[in-house]
Amino acid sequence: MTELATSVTATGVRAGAGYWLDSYRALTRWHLAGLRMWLMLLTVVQVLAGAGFVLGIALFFDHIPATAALYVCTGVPVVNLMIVGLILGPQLVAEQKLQQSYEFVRSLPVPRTAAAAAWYTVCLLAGLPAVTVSLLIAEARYGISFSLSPAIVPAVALTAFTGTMMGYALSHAVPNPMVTQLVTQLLVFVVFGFSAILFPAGQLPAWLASLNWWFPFEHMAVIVRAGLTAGLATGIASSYLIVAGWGIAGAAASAWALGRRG
Amino acid sequence: MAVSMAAAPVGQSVTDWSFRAEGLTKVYGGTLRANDAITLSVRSGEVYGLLGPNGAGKTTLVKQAIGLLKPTAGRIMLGPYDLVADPGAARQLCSYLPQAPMPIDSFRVREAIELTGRIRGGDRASVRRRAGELIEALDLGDWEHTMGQRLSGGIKRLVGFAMVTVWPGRVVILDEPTNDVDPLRRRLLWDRIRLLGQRGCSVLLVTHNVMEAEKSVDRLAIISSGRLIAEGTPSSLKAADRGNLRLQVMLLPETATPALPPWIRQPVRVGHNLITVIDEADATRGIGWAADLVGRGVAEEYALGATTLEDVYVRLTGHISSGGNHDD
Amino acid sequence: MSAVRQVAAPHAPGTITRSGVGYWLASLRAMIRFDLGQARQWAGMMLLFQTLMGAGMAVMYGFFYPKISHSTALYITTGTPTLALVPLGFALVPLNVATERIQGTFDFIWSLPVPRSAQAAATFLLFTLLSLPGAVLALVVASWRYGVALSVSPLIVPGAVLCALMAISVGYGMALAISNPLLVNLITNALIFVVLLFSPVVFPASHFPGWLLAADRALPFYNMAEVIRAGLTRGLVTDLGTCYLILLAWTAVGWALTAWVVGRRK
Repeated sequence: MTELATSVTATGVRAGAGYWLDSYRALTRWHLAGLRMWLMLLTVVQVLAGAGFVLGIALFFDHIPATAALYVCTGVPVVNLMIVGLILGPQLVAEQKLQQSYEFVRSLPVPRTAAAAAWYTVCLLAGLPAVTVSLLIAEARYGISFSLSPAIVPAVALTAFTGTMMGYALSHAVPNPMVTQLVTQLLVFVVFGFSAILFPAGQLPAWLASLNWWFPFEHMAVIVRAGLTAGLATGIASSYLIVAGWGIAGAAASAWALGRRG
Repeated sequence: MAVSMAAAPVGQSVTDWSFRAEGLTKVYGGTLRANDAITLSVRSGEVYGLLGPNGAGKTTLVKQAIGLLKPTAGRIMLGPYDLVADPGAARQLCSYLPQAPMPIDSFRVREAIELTGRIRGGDRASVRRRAGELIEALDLGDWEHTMGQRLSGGIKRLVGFAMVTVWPGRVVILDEPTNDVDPLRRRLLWDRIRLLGQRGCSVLLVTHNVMEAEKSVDRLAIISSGRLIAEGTPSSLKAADRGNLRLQVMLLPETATPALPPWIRQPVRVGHNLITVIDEADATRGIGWAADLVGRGVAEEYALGATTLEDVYVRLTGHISSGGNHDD
Repeated sequence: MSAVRQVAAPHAPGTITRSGVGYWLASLRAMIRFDLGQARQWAGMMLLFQTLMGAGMAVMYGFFYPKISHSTALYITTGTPTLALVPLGFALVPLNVATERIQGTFDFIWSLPVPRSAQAAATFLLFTLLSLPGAVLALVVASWRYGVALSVSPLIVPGAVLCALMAISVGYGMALAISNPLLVNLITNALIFVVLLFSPVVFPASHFPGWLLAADRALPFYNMAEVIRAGLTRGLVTDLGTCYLILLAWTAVGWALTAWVVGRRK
């Protein structure tokens, strides 16, 4: 019973780095437990999006040209990294809003930056194993040897960050959960088929290619490709800037939305 | 450093951790006054009920306290903290059990309770002990390792309560905590709520179940159409009715209200129920009149009893609450 | 003296049991009218969804090729109706079933004094008819995009109708049989994904290793594509008879599942 006394009569409000870290750790554990039911769906999705595409693309061709294979194999990691943050996350939050269970998590005493960091951590953890598996399968199937460079680390971190922050904004800044669900369904197609992630932008009609340039997806593929290959990707610096810009915009929109009260 | 509220030495200033809403107003779309200049205060360690019909504005009030809504006007203070200006502090100092079910489908019961305790700042060992204590006290042992998805509505509610009180803040806000809970466990719940009060937590309890509220709260406020229309202890609210009896007549469906003799007071008709108040001295007359109604086929039955808080509630709001003494 | 006009006494309520072909057909008509009323809500969305899916995916496939040969273009274009029908039957129909289940529509429909087979038949007929415009529209968009000339033959009509009916029947039966909506969601999404990558719908079977091809021949998707392709080209498709047989078999499976679920009382 002394615990009850301690918690109630503790001096007021916590603040500072210790509080931030404790909240971050606790909420990360919360999110991981909360994803448990989705684990099967997640695994299936990651395997299909990763290994599925890597293997399936060969069937598109009589004999797949080496460049086409390379583009797909270096683009698939981007999808693996983004899928939880950009697609699954907003769908989960939309469902919570529909069931009205969204407010409890919002009422918890976690600083907003810690909450975002916890979610980012979970999205990263949900993507990294899939990336590894996809690359290994690519290597085995097409005999590709990737020239890994240290640039892969910031590329992966930033891609996951931007995907997560965009999804975060979609979850919290868009009030109508049905709209969120619709947008995420649409995004699946946009990401897979109409963005130059799995193939070079040159293969898109000119107007679509220039439109693509303003969005982060193509650039995510560029920076990841730069970390996995040598000489294939160009315009790396501007790609970094565009991806980072979208990430910051997503984070800002989320911060505004989460701080907003009705 | 734990400070016991009860043992403050005389002459030393102690922080007043009362919860005070002052002129709290929430207006939607320029016209809908969900909360209209509500002023109330809850002392530290007090169990305070917010009673009112659906849509009265009770949930709106508590959501402003926890920082999910922003007031149009007025302020909310908890001790030295301004909860409206500092919603981050509000979330730390208050725990909130929403009316809707908890998002714990993927969590096991003990896990959900412990994780919430950790998020609220408790250390691992203490939280574990507290969780065990609550599971036992609420008779949830059978479900300790069950996934949330498999729980019934009532058990989920109890788990929600445990999540919110495993490491409570200074104010524990409970929005309809006993919904769907079976009568036996409901009693356990009320015991725990009382215990929270004894340990220094203020409890802000939203309910529309008058009979339960009457038994377990220290003070209560009746809220209707966004306004606070009565406040006080259950007995003080019933004081005006001292010396009165409640005469309830259940009319046949589709029957017009019969003509009432002058010694029948405060008639309120809710559905087929005609609830009136009479003087104790008129008890015999009352029985005779009601029996005559039954004999003539105007009413099905009648009941005479002591006035309850339900009557005050009905009189003030014109609504009958769920769980009134004709239900349970 | 005028004869008293005899009027047949009305049946006592609850004692009427109708049967026979006339009754079945009348029930079918009634159910179609009922479903049509419900269909108004989502028929437009269905058309949009199909056209976008079909045409969208057809266009998408093109992006993966560094250069598109005439043969590639022809295959993609003639596979487009299948691209429109597969998501309809295997994703939209199950979603519809799940929604109706949650809303309690089935409880209502199945309590009506209408034979269950007529109810199901009405649903299948209606969906099939509603699905064809979307498939056609998608085909038009694709052939315009890829600039491919098609040799349309009358074979396209039974082919398209059978494909649509099969997709809808199997999707419906599957959604009814699996009561867990999460599982249905998972299966349908995975299915579509797998189909579009690993079935020779928009590219020739010659790209496929033998074992994968054998599996695909048993599944409906490749057969759908071939049947429709036969109605749009000359000389490209061989062994059409087998394709038709397999599609008929799958349709029967869909009907059997449906019959089993609506027939049982839990």
